[in-house]
Amino acid sequence: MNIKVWDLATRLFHWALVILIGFAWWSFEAGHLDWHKKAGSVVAGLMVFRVWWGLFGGSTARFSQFVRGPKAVYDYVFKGKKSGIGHNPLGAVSVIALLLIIAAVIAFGLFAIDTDGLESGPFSNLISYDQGRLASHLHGLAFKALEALVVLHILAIGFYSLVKKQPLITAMITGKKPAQDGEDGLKPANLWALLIGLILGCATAYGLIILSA
Amino acid sequence: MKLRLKPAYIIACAIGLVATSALALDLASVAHDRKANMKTMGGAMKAINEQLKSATPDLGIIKAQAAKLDAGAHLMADQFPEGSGLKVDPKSEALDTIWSDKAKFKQISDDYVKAASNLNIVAQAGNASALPNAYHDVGQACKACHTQFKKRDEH
Repeated sequence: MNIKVWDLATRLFHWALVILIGFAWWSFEAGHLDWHKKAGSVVAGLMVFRVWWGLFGGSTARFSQFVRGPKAVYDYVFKGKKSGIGHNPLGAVSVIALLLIIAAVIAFGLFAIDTDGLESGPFSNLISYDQGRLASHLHGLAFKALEALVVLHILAIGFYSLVKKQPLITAMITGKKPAQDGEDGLKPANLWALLIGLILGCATAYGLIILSA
Repeated sequence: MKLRLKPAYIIACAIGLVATSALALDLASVAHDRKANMKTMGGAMKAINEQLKSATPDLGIIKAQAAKLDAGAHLMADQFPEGSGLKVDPKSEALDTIWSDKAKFKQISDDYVKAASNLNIVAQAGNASALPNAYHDVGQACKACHTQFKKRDEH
């Protein structure tokens, strides 16, 4: 029997993030900075939504449910302690690291300026050209760190899928996984929480798109 | 005989060393000044861009920055002597093609100087409607040269 582990919002967030970060990377490489800034703005909106969803979303998306201390990580990794549905304690560390580094990429991008002083993040007018160039440099460094984390993320999924035989990718697409003894599905969020989260996310994305135009 | 020549060799070597290191120092300072000039011009581009995007652009700022840009552009002709790239500055982003394809570099940097002069003329005349295009042309000229002759900006 299957149980539900990821709500639709969490899954859509995840895959939208994959597509948009990929698109942001490509648009920069191809020199389409206007598209790069739009993609970044939408990623920022997604991140605002995710933080909201981490507070008021479905049970498996909530930080209070999946962020555990170092002891829980130790027990999970070395003692094989069961962790319930959703992110395991080690995976939770990876999720938080990914979210933080994406936040850093966005934060630096908001202030970044290109070498010609032509293209710039929406808040670069608050700082000098030199500071903007530094922000641009840090934006790139943070992205390199993100690339490393993404590689680690994919390797970990490969390990769980192939070695531990847990269909993680299927779960992130369908939201469901085979139930183990005593496991219940996620507790879904309220509709109002979803609506407010969507409004906050869209407002952020829209605002940043307007500001960076 | 050999012994008597030795001091002469030493002096010759010393002069040679001093001369080459003075030259290298000179090239290094040119590279340093060039970098500073590029930053000044980048800052001017940023400042003008902000005014052009603003709902209430300050023509005074645009005039001052356009003048700065024009002056910087005219300095560039003397700021790319051969050997002032990676040889004297390991962090230099000036590619060797600047000196291996001098004709192309000259043409493309002349285009930039022209565009910067034009922007300054338009700005000083207070010709607000022509400013965006003039600015755009300078930007394209910056890019054209950087794409070919500057180490690719990784971020």
